[in-house]
Amino acid sequence: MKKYLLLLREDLEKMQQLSEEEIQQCTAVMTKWCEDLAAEGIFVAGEPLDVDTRYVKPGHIGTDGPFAEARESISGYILVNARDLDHATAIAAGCPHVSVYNGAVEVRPLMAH
Amino acid sequence: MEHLLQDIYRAQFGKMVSALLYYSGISRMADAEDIVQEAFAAAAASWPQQMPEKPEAWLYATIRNIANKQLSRQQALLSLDNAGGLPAPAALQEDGDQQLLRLLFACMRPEFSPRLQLVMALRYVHGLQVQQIATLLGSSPDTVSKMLYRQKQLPKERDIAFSSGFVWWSEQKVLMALKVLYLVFTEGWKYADEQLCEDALSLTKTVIKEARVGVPDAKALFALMLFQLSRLDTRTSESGELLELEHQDRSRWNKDMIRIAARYLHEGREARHKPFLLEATIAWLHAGAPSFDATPWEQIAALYRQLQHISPSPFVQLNHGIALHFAGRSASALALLAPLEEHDFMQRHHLFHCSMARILTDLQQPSRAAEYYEKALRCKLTPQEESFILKKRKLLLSGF
Repeated sequence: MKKYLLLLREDLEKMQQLSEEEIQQCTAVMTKWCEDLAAEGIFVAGEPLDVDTRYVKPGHIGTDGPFAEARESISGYILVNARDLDHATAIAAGCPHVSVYNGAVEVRPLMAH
Repeated sequence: MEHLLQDIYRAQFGKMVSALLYYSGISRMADAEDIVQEAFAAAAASWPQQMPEKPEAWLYATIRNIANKQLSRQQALLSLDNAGGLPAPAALQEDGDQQLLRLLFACMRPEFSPRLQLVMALRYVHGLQVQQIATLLGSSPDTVSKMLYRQKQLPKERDIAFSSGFVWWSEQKVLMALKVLYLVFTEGWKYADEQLCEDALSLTKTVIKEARVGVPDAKALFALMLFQLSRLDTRTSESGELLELEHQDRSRWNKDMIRIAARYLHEGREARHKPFLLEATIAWLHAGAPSFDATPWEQIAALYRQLQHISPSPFVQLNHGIALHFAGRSASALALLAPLEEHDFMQRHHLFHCSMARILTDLQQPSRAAEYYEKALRCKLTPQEESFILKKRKLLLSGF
């Protein structure tokens, strides 16, 4: 088993406009999915991320909010155990963030150490 | 020294186990438990020679050393958020209640029976020893050990409690945790174990603070606990005898606590888990009644009927019957209680027999009432309960 990082991508501006209830609902669905993954021994770690964002670049420190050219950003991460990249991809495809909320997930293998 | 160590054990054991599970790569509850036990054994051996200045910090430092030694022996994969071994002892000690709540969540699994969840919570979260749990639950130490042994082999990887902030959004975990805190509180209340009551209260408060779901439910439960605690001191007379609600000195009920409880009850009115809400409302009606006779029994009986409908239990049925009797509907009360004569558990419970005796006494049937006191005396009783029932029976036989 190897470890893969699933990066959940989302339009942060849209996310900011969600009502408290919508956020609750969506996080509840994600939580259920994570609990199921954990029961199968797949889930290693993961957290939802808050939308308050600061960007740091050389000479350009601490800008608020997403840049115009990159409104889509990371809204959560999940670390999973999987056999290979295909298996990890299949897990990501089952994520409600994709299947229910039309979001995108980036699947990245951790470099072996 | 021994007392100090016992006190620290009870107050810190759960926090220590959960800090280990949270910060180290240790995944089995049993392994974390062993490390904490080892640190306490080391303390018992070395403290008599030299007492550390800060006993708790000493224990946390010892736990950290033992754990780091073990971890360096393993070729552990580093997880994303805890590279670099265990943090300094001071950091291990931080956020005690939050860690404790994580541990409680880890003990709450849907496949566990409510009783097992309670045993797990008492052992790990509240730091009680097997013997103490057995006494509390009227079970044998052997049974309790066996229940715990099977479960503590479980790895934490199968659970999100220590691996994800998603756990604060898990309605299932939060509701299971609240139900078990309710049971812990009830056990503490029954045995006048004030610390257990306070621990349950404090963790319920932590749920209100940390959880992202189920907060109104936690508020309703918090209100219920406060209403109960507001009359903790009036449950017994100065000589230590049990006092029925009827004979408690209402002027000594804690008014401030009742006011705060009422506020939480109001804020918890949207609770999804209605039993806490209904029970807290009943407790509120009792707390607000100027006297026993002026209690709105009819309203209380109606709430118990609702409670019995959504969450049936023989205790609710019993309380419903008692409320009907005090509302002046004794015939309905007896009809409702009659089926409990056939109920295995209730037949062995003194509260049922005492309630029947009370109703029959009020109905001028002393000889039948006396029979129920006899039955009550054959149940498992605390010394306090036994002397209470003996006194009641004596009063009855002397024709008051």
